[in-house]
Amino acid sequence: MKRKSFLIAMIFVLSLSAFLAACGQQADHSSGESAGEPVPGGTVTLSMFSAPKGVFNPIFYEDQYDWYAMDYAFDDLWAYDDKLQLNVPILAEKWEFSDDGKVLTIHLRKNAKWHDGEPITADDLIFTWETIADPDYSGPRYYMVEMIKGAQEKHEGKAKTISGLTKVDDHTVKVEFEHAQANALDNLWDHPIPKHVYEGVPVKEMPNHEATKKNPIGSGPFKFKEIKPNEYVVLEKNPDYYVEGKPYLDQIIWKVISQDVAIAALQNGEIDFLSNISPAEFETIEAMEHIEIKETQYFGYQYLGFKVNNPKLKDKKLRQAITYGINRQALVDGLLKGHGSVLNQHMPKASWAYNEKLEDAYPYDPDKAKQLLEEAGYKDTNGDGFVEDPKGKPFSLRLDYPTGDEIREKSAPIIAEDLKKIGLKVEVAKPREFAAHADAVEKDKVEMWLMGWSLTPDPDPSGIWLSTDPWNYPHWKNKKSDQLIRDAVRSPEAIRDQNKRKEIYAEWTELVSEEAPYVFLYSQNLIEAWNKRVQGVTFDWRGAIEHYKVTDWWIPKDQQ
Amino acid sequence: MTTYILRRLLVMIPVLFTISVILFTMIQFAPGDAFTGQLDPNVDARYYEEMRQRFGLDKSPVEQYFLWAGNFVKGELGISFRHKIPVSEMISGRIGNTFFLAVCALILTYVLAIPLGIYSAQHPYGKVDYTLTGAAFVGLSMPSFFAGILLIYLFAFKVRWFPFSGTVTAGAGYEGIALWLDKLHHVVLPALTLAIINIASYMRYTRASVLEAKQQDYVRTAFAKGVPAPLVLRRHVLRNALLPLVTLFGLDLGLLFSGAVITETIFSWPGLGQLLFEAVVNRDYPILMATTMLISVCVLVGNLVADILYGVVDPRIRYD
Repeated sequence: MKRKSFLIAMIFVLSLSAFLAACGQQADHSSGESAGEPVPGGTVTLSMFSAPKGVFNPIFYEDQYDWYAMDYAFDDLWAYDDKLQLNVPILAEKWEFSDDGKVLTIHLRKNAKWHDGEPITADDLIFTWETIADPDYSGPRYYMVEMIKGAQEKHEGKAKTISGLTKVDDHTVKVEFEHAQANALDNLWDHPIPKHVYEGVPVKEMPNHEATKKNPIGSGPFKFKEIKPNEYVVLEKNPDYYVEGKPYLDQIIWKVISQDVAIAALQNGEIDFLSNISPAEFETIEAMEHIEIKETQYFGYQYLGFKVNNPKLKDKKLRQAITYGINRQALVDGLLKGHGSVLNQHMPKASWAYNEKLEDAYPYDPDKAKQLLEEAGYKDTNGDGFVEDPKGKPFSLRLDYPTGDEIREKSAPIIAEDLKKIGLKVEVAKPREFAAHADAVEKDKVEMWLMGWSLTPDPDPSGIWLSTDPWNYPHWKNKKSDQLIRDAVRSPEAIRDQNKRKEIYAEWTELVSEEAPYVFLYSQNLIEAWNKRVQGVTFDWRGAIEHYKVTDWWIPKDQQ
Repeated sequence: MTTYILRRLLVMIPVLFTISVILFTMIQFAPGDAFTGQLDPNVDARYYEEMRQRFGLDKSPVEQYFLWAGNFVKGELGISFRHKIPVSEMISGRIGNTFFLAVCALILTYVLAIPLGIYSAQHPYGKVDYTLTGAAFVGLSMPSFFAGILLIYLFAFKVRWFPFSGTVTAGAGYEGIALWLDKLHHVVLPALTLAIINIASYMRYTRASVLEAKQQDYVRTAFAKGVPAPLVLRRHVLRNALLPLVTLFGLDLGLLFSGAVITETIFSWPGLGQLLFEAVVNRDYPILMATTMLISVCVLVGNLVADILYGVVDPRIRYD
């Protein structure tokens, strides 16, 4: 009797578990569909490869990872839209310039509050700028406040306050600039910090203040909940955010994950989002059914620079020949597996200032390259396969490159091979670690080198391209270029009309292309992937995790 | 004994001084300084010049060394150039993690290596012995990078028994016992990764040592007297065989803080190793100097402890 009832019990248990398993399966299937309307709740886990340093104060941070962690907690005055125009009102409801372009009046929205409930007012804005201009300020943002009239005097300790700032009322501020500039708005620092928190704290001690490290008070859709130094940051929803009903998510967690395990983490759901994916991993991730992957042109490029002040590289025709002689499309196809594009100018494709005419400049043409070399006097007189210089002496160039970017490292020998085919002898130096490489470039210990730049939505190339800029590593000094760069931001026509500014940049990019102080190599794509359970994700030139997009994210009830 | 210890402690001072000078010189040879690699086109280059001046990087190396040394003996470890945060804060945030990981790895090592080594020695040249020897060679030749990834793949990915990053679960907010359990749960894989090489070498070492001890005359005498085997093992063999391990233990104590860069990086375990590595890459010499001095002190003290323990445990050794 016992055995029989045991058997029946077993059959019952087995069929029950089979039934439950089947139910479980069905539940899985239904979660694959996307639900309709946004619902509140849920947690999204984002990942970064390096730990933030813990300076959670917008005016003092220097580490990019600090910015990732605090981005959603601090709103700005205005933001870029998907066409790279700076015209989305955030904390500033509206703003206008005076006729001469020198005075900007900012109207703050009246219902914005700090995370501790205090209202955001003109006092906060003015306090922020005054702090940055303070002589004891140790952060890198002074150059975003420098253009305000009177800021220089305060920075040098000659004045106590910035004369160009006027508080009109609790929500209106007048800012007077030293000069009218077309990109005044792009360059003006627009992340206020709370005055009532930092007032009275000596500027020298602000980076170490409790509000910076442990308890940041911000203005954004999310606020800091928990900070575990070097491991993760937990942000929670700001219930008093001035946009009704948003954000939908309850929590966002930023986790520090090593690059080696990141893809596995994405696959098994430990993280919901991954950025800066390398082209080699694209296919692996594309094959994951529950993961969405997208790419866009990265705002930046890799280049080969010439030390133009070196007598060896003085001849423009030689530099142009080298540009024709490198098969850049092959680099994109081979090393980037197509996840990138050839770039011919210091402007990203998404920019309104991008010069269409240069799209196909310098196609790979070894014959044209050889012809240019001959015209410049570089001929192979002794039949060894390499050209000699115009004086008949043996000629070779050295290519230096850094470690840290596997694709860039692989490109160096390929470039040398390409140039060998047009008769140029190129010695590829041993790669150096990045800081050492940068040091060598700065001290002019190189002839040709590989490096990259990242770009901003504002197309102004000053800082890198002016004859006087320390970042102008090629030492390319060209009066016309300087003039064009200045006109594009200072001339009245450019200030008034963006199309006119675009024309000036068109002329500038063509001048640079002709003079060839760089060979613009390629622009790698920004590849990002996220778990499909997160709805409402949009992707454009800003990537997917841009500050104001995150407020649109939501998770269906059954996947929270 | 006391004079011996005092003498050793006094000798540490010139040793530490020499180490600091050598280290500082080596840092100066590296091209560039803390601000060279930072090429942010959105930040004006003048900012880096101002920072260099502020931190005294434009002074001569000798001057910089004495500035640093003067502060160091006062107990001021300085401020990180890159991060503008006091060095003591950066270290204290991470030292606990490194210590915890190192202690767990040490425990794992001794708990696994010694019994396995003894067993190997008890049944030498048998199947188990050969298997263990083979495994030991594999463990010795495996780079920690590979071992770590392999463990993650097997135990965190294929079967989700253990987490593979961090010291605690993010956003869970555990406290008390739950927190400690969570920490233990997170430390298993990184500790195992660190321990693998040590287990392999300690196991071999123990085996050799025990085998040698078993050959000694006094062991034969004990058996001849009729002492049961387990007692012989415990009272005669082990006490003598494990002597060298005592010294190794002292040295291990010293290395507790040196951190394991690769393991810490793979497991996103915020420890001193990672900090040190980053500081080297960034030429952030305040962090470098402070951390290396810390490790040097630990190693020297560890050596001292090892020598003392050896004297305590082995009556043949006596210091005056």
